[in-house]
Amino acid sequence: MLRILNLEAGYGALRVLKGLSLHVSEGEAVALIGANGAGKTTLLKTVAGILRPRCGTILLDKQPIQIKPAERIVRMGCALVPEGRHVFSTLTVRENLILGAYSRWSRKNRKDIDEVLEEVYSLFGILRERHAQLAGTLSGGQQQMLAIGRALMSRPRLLIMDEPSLGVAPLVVKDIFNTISILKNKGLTILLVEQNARAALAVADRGYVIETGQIVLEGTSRELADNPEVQRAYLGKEYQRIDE
Amino acid sequence: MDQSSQIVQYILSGLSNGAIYALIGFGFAIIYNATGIINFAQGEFLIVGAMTAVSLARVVPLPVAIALAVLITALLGGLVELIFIRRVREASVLRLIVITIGISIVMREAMLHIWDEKVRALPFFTGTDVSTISILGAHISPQALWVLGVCAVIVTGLTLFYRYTLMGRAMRACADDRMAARLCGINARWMVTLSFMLSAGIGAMAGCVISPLTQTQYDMGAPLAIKGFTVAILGGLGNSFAAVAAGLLLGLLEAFTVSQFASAYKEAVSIVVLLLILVFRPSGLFTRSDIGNLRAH
Ligand SMILES: Nc1ncnc2c1ncn2[C@@H]1O[C@H](COP(=O)(O)OP(=O)(O)OP(=O)(O)O)[C@@H](O)[C@H]1O
Ligand SMILES: [Mg+2]
Repeated sequence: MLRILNLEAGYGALRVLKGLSLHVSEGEAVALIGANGAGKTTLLKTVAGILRPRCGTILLDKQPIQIKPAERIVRMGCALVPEGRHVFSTLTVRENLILGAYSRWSRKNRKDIDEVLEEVYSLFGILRERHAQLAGTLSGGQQQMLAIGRALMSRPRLLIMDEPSLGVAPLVVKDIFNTISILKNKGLTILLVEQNARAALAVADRGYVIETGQIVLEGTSRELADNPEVQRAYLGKEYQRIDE
Repeated sequence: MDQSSQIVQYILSGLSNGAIYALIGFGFAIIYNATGIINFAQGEFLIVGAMTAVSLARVVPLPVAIALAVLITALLGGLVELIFIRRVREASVLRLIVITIGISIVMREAMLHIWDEKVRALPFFTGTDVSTISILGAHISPQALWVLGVCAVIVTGLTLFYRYTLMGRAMRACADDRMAARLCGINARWMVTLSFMLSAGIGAMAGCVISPLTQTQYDMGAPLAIKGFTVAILGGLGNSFAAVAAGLLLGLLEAFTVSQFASAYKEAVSIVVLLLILVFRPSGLFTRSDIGNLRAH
């Protein structure tokens, strides 16, 4: 579904991604783990069309998208939940969700949009409860749910998430990862970036490890979780088996 | 005229002037919200709108002339954005503001060439320059009521637009978080263009509705823009509805000054208010300072 080949990107003179390649197949959940500053967010922004790559290819359903702007890429079925949530804080929860469906807005989609809204509300009950509240007044975890809900409103085939557990209370992190596995079980293709490597590998089928803009390791979640390097660098000493 | 009807007189004239300031302030706020810049060419949009309507009114009926003038000015606003602002989008806010000052000068010169320096005016929408309506003993021109009515309709219309239409919501989303808006599929650049069109169109309507009262000359945009700018700052930049309230307030303040002192002081009022606000309350009268930064760009 998504194939990235030799991608290079950065900011001004700063090269962040140095010839990065990876792929995500249909129906798969893939985790991307790496240290701070490794280039994870840069990669996702480039895929979503917020950032232009220097060179390399990004194929979505075999179509090159590296030259397309963000607005077009959502329409092609690839939605990004950005790092730091980026909800529209001065708009209501419901307005945030409605704008999530902006790319598909039309009279004939009207019923379908209502249906997705209903799905999002049943996935995150708190959003239904708070639908008239300004998004800026939600807690970090609720904002994260809103950001995910907003992305789902575009009915993506590929959902990309950048650190959904960042700044979220531990209890809520569990909820969010539960939701991610629900979405995966519904057949949604997912690319997930996380600092919380353990939780990410627990929901993902496969994973990649990124270091200074390059993929240094890839494998199934089990392989990565069992890899001593990964254990030392990303899982911490108190590592326990994920199927505890 | 007795004392109380005199007061009513001042209040009404203050409100109708204030309504125009409110519309100009509203125009500033629309563009500020979309881009973070202050469009110093806002005053010129009023004059272009009024002048275009004056020219068109010779060949078509007045309402048609005004509608066309608003449309043409809105298109001009969009064009100005496409040509001068869009290309330098990543440039600093300061640079963009200086560019809008340049645009205002170019527009003024262009108007001087097209319409020379003669003072022109649209005919009164209803009645003539001597007809008056008496309200509570005060006599005001029916045109002043037109001003108030047009202001009310535009403000209500835009409120509904921003609140309930997808496009209006998308514009607010862009102002709130541009990147997130793009991720939703909203074309942020076109939303900026649309803001310029809206702002210019509102300006043109304001220019038309005051033209019979104040008449119109190619270089009257700048003083109007200063009023509008005062109002926009007074309301707390980017807060369109506070700008409307501030506009009415400034109008009343001016009327009060005229009633108590000489009308020569009227023009000084807005400058004094502007300075006071900038020194003592830069986030505006109606903003709590803690929410003033909510939409920092
Ligand atoms: N907007 C920017 N302008 C300039 N440099 C940037 C920008 N954003 C990120 N960088 C730099 O690019 C490098 C990679 O950043 P990136 O945000 O992609 O890392 P990350 O892997 O997402 O890290 P984190 O885990 O902290 O989110 C870092 O060195 C960072 O300082
Ligand atoms: Mg990051």
